[in-house]
Amino acid sequence: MSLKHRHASTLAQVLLLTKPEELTCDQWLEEVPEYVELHATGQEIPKRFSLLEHHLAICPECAEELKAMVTAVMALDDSVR
Amino acid sequence: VTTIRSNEEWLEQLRPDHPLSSAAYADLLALLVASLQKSIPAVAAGGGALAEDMAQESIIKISQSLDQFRGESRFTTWAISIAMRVTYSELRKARYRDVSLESLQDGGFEASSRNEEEAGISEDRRQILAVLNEVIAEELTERQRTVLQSELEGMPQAALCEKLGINRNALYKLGHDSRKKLQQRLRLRGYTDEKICEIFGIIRPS
Repeated sequence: MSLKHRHASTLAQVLLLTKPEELTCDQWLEEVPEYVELHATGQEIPKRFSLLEHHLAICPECAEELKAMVTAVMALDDSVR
Repeated sequence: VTTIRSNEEWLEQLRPDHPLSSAAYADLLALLVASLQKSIPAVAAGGGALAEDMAQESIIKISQSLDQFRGESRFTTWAISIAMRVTYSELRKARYRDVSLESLQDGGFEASSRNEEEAGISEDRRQILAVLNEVIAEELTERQRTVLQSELEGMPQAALCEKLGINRNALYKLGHDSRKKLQQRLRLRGYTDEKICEIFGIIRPS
């Protein structure tokens, strides 16, 4: 069995990002609400969110969900102003 | 949303026995329908019925998870985050409902001697591919190989979880264990991060 060339490059990029300890998608979801609010209000992101941000680099699906969360929270804030 | 509530008021009023429970659920439903329509193009394109279905599905999950709300954000932000997970998972599963794992296996790993893609690639790249293939074949489990290959072929986690009958946490751990093993074996063979970047022409992540 052999890895396709185009997949090898993608895999290499993910391996470069791999850490011994990472957040799973469910752990990420537990941590993300506060991060969403900081993002939506343009506040500085504290260093304690580094594992959460690392997960975004590994997991494009959580990154897509984050984008939608921030959009929704910003729209909600606009609607109550 | 007709009523602005504190986090505590949301938690109290969403209890089934609370006198304002129906109003709280109706407000949460309206909030989630609007949020999903504004932030997910596929939901907006799917019309009000899809948004309502996804919001209803999300409310079931939210009401089952109320004791997990940590109070570090507004309740509505927490509810929105769950609704996004539920909705994206459903949309991703639907997109891959007719795609079998077997069809991805056929198109993913191939016998290297037949892999025309390898023609013309550098010797360095051929060597690192050989190492990766060796570890994949000899040190990953069958399930880890299936997960790795399906993800490389672009199958979303929600769809993969459904087909394998496992949850997203278990899937992530399977993938993480595979990545750690591959990374460790590459390092043992002398492939530093700098060398890997050089071989694949990629910028080292910060």
